[in-house]
Amino acid sequence: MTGWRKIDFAFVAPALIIFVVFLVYPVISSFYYSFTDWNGLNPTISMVGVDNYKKLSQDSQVWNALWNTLTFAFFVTIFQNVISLMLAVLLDHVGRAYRVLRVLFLIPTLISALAIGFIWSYMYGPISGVINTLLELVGLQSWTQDWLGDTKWSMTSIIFTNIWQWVGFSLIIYLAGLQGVSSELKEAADIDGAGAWKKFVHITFPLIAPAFTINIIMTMIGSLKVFDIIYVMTKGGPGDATTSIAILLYKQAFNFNQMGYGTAIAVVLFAIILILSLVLITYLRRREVQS
Amino acid sequence: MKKTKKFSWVLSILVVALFVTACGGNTGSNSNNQSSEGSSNSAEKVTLKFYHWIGQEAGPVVKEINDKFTEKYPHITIEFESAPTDQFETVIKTRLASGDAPDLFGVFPGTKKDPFVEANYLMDLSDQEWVSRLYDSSQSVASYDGKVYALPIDSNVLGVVYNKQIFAELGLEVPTNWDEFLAVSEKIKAANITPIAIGNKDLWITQLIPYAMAPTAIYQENISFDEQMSKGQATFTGSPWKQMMTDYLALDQKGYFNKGVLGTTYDQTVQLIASEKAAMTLNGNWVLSLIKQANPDMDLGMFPLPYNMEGQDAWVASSVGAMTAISATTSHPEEAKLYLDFWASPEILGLYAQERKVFSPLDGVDVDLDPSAKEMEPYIAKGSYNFLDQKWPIGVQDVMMSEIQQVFATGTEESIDNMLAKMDAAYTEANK
Repeated sequence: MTGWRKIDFAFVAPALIIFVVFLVYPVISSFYYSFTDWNGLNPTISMVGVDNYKKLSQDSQVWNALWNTLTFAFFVTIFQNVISLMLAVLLDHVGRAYRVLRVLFLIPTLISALAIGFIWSYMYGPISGVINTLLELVGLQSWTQDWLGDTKWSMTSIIFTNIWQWVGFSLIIYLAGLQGVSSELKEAADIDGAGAWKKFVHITFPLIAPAFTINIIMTMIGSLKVFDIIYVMTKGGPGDATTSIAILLYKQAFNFNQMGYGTAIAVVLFAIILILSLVLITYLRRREVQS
Repeated sequence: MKKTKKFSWVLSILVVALFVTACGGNTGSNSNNQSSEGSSNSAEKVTLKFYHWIGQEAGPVVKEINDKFTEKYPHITIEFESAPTDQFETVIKTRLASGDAPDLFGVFPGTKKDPFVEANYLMDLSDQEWVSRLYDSSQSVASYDGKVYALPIDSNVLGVVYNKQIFAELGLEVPTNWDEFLAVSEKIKAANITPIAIGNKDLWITQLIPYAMAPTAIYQENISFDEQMSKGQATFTGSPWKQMMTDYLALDQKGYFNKGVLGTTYDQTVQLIASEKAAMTLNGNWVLSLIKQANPDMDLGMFPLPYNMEGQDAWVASSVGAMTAISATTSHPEEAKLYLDFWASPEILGLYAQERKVFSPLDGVDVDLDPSAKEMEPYIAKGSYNFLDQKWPIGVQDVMMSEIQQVFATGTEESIDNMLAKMDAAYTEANK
């Protein structure tokens, strides 16, 4: 069935309309507003050219938020993929039990970031939180920390919660990829005397390259945009220790009544994600073709 | 094949139609208020949309007030909607900017409402009867350029809420100066109870202690400090602010705050007091009802933060917390004004203040206050000043709250100097 029949447009229309109205139009108007000094309230706006962009390149808050965001994205992408890949390999070997286990791992991804953030905030509480209480019960008092209030630990705690939530998602993609690896190849390697690690590196991993690409790209893009989990757990605090770019632009736009400046920061974030994604996709796709 | 093709067309058109109506949003139906007959109403039926943040704690009493209002004016119904403060702030800005203004909505006291006035969203209410009954300090935070733009509906005071029983058991008396306050805290700490519960994870809590200190430390001697700042004649750096922040930080470093103060929230401090693990907390009188909800048998008292030397007076921080304004573009201005008039009547405002355990911003309203809150009344009479952000340009408060967290995270004198410098920068920037 090639070519578009008139009926096809009718089916696509609802989703297309929503997509254009709620996604394309706001993104394009963001570009427009980033060149203004709109405060989000006044009906009158004036253009200020590239002033907002000049301002943000010298704003130490922006650089700090950029550093926080890149740190978050780096650790989440690496650890989430390593852990979910290891889990996928393990689950591949437990026979039929994997069906139940993968559902269990998937459950956190179905819960809203708001609920997850609240639950973990309470667990991380310095006085009555579950984690510190358990540590004290087993006599490890000295290991208790103010997990979200101590700047040494706040980002780490949020990274941990985020990975905990999304590991299941990467897991099912890796599992699907692993199940496409024919067992004949692995048996052939066994006959040749290859150990488990060698089998993984030379056979399994190259063959799940597509799953790897998808997971890396998705975790990277998602973690660069991070807002809700951080906002719920620390609102970007203490101070600006956990403020990501998304949180910074939200605060600038809504708390400081600087909608123009906030959208400029949003455009910069968009550009960063776009460039990183293109670079990564090109590199990973080439890897896929090679294997 | 022809039949299925026609069927597919019909189906897809239905789907589009369904989507369009679903995304069309709510077209408010106000024809569902065909209430009981009886009196012949020649007045057309009016529904007023009222959006505020007070519903979280005051939901039931607002409903009671709305019902009483409709009893008095049967042709007017109030549609009340509420959202938590943070959410309210963002939503109201969006609604106003998109032309979907509610008839009546909440506004923040002081300079925070100024952008709304400048964008012509608020109706001038200077000619309303209740304006003459407002206390001076309440009127000033509801005004812009000499005109009144909202009705203040409460007045709150900051102070130290304390557990009277713990004090009695340890033989402690209410401290009347800073040295006594530190001594009392030391004795409570020695008894293995947390002296002061503070929840600095929540940004809005971080500002309360400086707000409670400032009237005594700054405004008692120099009430025009804010005017001087707006003219560029005074700055945060080089003012009593440094000493205030040093003393504030010292409370934590001496161990008088709960451990992990930056990881503790407002709710958790309420729990600490209610479960008697902490003896005192610094907050507004609104916290009294929350603590009593958790532990109704508690014997609570309240005294002003005694940030004064021996022999000096302590001034308290006292301010309007919430106001209600009328949209400048409402299609029912007369009915909306009737509603505010109704709220401002001694009977109704008294009811609201009593249920919410707050003070009245209007003169002549008898409020049967919670006895713990009543203990603050004589101090308010001695001397008080607004919550500081109400006189600052927009943005300074956000910088202050974030920087206070930074100060507590690093604990150095340098971080305090940094904080004041950043606050000054934000002030100058926003004051342009």
